[in-house]
Amino acid sequence: MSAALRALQESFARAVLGGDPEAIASSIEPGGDEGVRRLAIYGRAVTANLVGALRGAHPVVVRLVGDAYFHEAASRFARADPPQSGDLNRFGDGFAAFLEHYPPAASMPWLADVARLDWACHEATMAGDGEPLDFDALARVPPEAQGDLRFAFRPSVSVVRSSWPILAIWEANQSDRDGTPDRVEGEDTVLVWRETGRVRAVALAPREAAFVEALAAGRGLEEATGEPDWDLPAFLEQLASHGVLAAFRTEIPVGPSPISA
Amino acid sequence: MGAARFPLRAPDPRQAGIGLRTPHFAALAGSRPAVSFLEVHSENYFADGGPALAWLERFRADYAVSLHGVALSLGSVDGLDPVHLDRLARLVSRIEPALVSEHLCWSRLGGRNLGELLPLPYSEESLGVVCARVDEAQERLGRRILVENVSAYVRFRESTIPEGEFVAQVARRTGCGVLLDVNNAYVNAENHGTDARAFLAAIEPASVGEIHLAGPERTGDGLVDSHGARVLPDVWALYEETIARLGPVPTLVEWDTNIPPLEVLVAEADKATAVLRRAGDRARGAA
Amino acid sequence: MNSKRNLIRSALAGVIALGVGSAAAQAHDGAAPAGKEKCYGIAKKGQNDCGTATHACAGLAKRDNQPDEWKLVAKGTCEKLGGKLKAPAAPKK
Repeated sequence: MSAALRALQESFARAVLGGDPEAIASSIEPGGDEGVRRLAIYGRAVTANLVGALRGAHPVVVRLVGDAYFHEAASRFARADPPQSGDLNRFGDGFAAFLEHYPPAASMPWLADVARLDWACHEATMAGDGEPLDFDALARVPPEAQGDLRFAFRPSVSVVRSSWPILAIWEANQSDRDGTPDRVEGEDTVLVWRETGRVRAVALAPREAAFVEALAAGRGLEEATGEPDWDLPAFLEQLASHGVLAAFRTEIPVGPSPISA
Repeated sequence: MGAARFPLRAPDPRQAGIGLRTPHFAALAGSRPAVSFLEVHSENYFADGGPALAWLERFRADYAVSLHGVALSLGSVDGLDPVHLDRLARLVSRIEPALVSEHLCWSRLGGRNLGELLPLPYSEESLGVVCARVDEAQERLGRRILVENVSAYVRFRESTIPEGEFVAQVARRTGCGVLLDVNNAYVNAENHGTDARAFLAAIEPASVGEIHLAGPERTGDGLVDSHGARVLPDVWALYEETIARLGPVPTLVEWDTNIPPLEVLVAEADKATAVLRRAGDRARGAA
Repeated sequence: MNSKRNLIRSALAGVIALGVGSAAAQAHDGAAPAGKEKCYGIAKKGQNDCGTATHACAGLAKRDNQPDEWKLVAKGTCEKLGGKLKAPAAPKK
């Protein structure tokens, strides 16, 4: 029923994404070169909007590589893999993977992981609040059920693992720093979450990272703890006090609240 | 239907509103200028939570809010993106906006969205597609929406209906309202050598629910709708004529690039308010 | 095993103690945009603003890009970072 309109939109998309105005040129006014120049306004606008979205989501990558480089890389990615959502805040999920295989970035093997950290922070700004940890309910969990507690994280929480000191790079490229990292060594595993509206990123020690990832995989507290030779109480208290932990469940029913009962 | 979370607020048609953008959040919260409503791009608040939504809810407590979508793609042959429509519906129930609007254009094709307001040919075929999408949106949202005429840099030989008639037909067939962008009408007339007044005259006064004003940028390839400058004198003249014909209509000044300090934007909106007040006084004088 | 149980018990006791008197403290982690804080995320620009004005961005975007070689060379902070970063001693999997 709308075959002609579909064909026209396909031709138009080829002109603005692929820089190929030939198929649409005979359908537009003004004709000739003037028409091609007018079409180019759309081509530049599409690129600018999509690159702008990637730029907003990857501020540290932008600062690392500079504007011209970023524009070139981002526009190649955007034209090859345009957004699936009309909400441009959601555009950029695959950009880190693109950078990993982008030949000009081969000399910066850490760049893709920095992009992953940027993206995790970006997503954390948009995540839902989730259920806060119910301390009273936690207090009613019988001791025999404690080892089986399964904690969930707030929706903003994610972990980015890297073979590079990405947190040091990321911190050095915040707006109040000059870009020089405090350290040039390390394999950072970074915990990202949002706390009172602000995105936070901290490096996890290996035992902490393993614990967080085990909880995220749905393991019970006892199993996730591993060998009891590290400071679980201090770490769990940090997670709880900074709003990283959300609801929990246990296989054994929790007793009724003394207030509501 | 849940209980209202916010006070019921509607834009005062005798006072203009402003487009709300991130750089103005703190200044707006601090100074609370006298504007009749705030308009935001709906998609910027599609998140599940977080600071952007928290800011908007905070402003909504004090102002009427208009949700202005940029990417629903009413002219898509593929139909509306159900996820996009669901997120818009969720935002509408969260914010309880006074107005909900979208553009007469397309951006989505084959599961991809080009992130830009792309022009449609004005034909019976397009009219059928757009009206079906507007019906679907209004049904899903359970309310009337406004549709906006866009700036275009090319026209299509396939067009058989004058733009003003096309916009008027969409409103007539679907019962939606018109968001009349006077600057876009001017930009198109300049770029295509058409008559902005003929366009404006084709729109039925009762269908107009909002007016947009903004400043374009003159380039070697014609006027580009950059929303990055003050409103042009010619556009003010068209606006005065339009208000004289329609009476006071909620009016918004948009500024999206080269964003100035909040006071400059509010001062631009105050100029529109002066036009609205004069029209209101004339109407009362004539009565 | 007992030491592990004790460790978990003491960890949970610490968490529960946190909740005393501050149960609702972290209920809305998206809802505190007070003052003029410029921290990351507090007032992050929405990426759809250009979308409307789009045309806006069209005006700002420079003339079309030839794929110039210099655009493939990273500037910015990378220049001081590149040679200094050290890969881990043993490559991971």
